[in-house]
Amino acid sequence: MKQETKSEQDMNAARETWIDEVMESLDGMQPAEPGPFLWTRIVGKTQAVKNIPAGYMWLAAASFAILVLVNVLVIKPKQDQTSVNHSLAEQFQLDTPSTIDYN
Amino acid sequence: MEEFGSFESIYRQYKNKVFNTAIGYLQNTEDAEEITQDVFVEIYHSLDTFRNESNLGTWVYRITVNKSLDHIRKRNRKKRMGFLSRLLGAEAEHESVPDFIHPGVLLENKERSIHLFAAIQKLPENQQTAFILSRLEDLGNKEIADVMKMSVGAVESLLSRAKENLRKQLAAEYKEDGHRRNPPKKSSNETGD
Repeated sequence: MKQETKSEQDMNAARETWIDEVMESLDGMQPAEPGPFLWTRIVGKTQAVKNIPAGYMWLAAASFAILVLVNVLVIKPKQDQTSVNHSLAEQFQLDTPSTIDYN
Repeated sequence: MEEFGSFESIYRQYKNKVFNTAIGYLQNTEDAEEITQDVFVEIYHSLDTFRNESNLGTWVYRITVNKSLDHIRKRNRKKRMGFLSRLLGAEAEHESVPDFIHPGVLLENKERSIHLFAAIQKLPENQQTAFILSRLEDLGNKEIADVMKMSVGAVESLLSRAKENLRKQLAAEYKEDGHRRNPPKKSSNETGD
């Protein structure tokens, strides 16, 4: 029984020593340094965002507006045509029954 | 290009601090470089707003900490999604975090530092930040308190809890696979792993 306690004590001591050594493993460390081309990448990224001229922004906005307008112009006549078709179908009673009457 | 003069001097002064802090959180060189890049791009675009602040270093560290933590949160979300898709039976890429060895750690400490970095990753965010700024960046408690916008007492408490939690984690790890772990002085040359 006494022997077991002794081995437990030894194990605990070994564990504590290991933990202490792990906790101290950052002692004397040097700071890590980024790669040599990081500055070039950063400058490139800052310029990429900054270098979009205002003219291009307006051009993009105008293109988008034209796209929306063209869509509206295309869709609107189609809707008008559909309503004309419906009124003609009603006038000449061309509408088909939704269920077939077999009797 | 004149504007780059002051920006470049800030970069020269802080690049290692930013990168070293980011690598402490992310434990991956590529991710740390990406964060360093993002931090300096933000600094470049926000230099005007900084003028009102008191300490440039505090500001730079704060941006770095926030960006690193955001990156970790995103990474964890991805991991959770991967886990969910595995649960649902979908094919998912098995993602294992490799052991991280900090490039600045002394050769004789490299093996042991792997365990410490793995344990740091499991700390709560605030404790992680306090520990990284203290041990990796050698900041004093006052500087850490400024970066974290809290009192010096709160930082002391965070550091003490961080150390306590790290010791607990290491103890559990030792207990789990202590038979494989090199007992520090006796059998370091007996095992190959």
